Amino acid sequence: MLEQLVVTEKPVHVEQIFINATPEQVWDAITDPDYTAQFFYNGRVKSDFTNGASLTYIDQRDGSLQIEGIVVEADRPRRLVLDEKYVWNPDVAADPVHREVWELEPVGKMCKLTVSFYEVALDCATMKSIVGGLPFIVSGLKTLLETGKPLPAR
Amino acid sequence: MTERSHIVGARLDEVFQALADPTRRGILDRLFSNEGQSVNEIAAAFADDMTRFGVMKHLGVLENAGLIVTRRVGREKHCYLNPVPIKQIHDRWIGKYAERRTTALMAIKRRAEEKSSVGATRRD
Repeated sequence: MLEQLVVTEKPVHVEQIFINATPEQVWDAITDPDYTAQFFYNGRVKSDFTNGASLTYIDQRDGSLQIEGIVVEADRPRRLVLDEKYVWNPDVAADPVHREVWELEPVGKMCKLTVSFYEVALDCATMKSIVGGLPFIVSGLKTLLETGKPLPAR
Repeated sequence: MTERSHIVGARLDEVFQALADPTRRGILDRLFSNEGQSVNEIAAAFADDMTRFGVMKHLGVLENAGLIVTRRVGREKHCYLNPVPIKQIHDRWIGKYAERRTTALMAIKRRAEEKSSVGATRRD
């Protein structure tokens, strides 16, 4: 299992989206493999989402490991802190572990979801994947929760 | 930000209004090339052209539109370019073409696979 990071820096990247759903619904969608497979690049998340638990994303198409990590903090439906290492190709697998913080906050009838990344080097493959991929993940999550259908496959 | 502005922030008018100003696009350019700059750093970069108050107003417009997200670390407030509203604009007017293209490519792939399996049957 991975060692937990000690994070002291400001985030390197932050994205935010409003979803017409409750924080509980958003939390359940990001922690349920049947949901994540539909918006997280085919990745089925596996974890019991307790503090210190291990975490993996497995590609539903071929069973390969995409991400390995640990749950640093799980406070349903408010805050999920994960230390992750991307492993779906040799470039990202060469990068060290980074931290992701998923914050869910009710705003009126919507949920404001903010995802922040820490301890990622600016020019590494992991950073490129985050910047290039996260908008698809969060807008796929929004579409799935609001319409019941995933975004078209890329 | 008020609760109302959060919800309205999801609306396109605010995004386009925010993008209509060259200074605000300049702020986004700065954040695009260097994420997480503090409000003080951004104000200093525009100090020749406007007051700190003026910069703060522009940052407020960008934040209400959802184009930037701020995170406080210690005493500093850091600003991040949020690509999500721009992705939503893309999805609204480009998304269906991307979908058709994907669908077309899937159809080509399916036909190719059918042909090759027919070919295999014939060889048998």
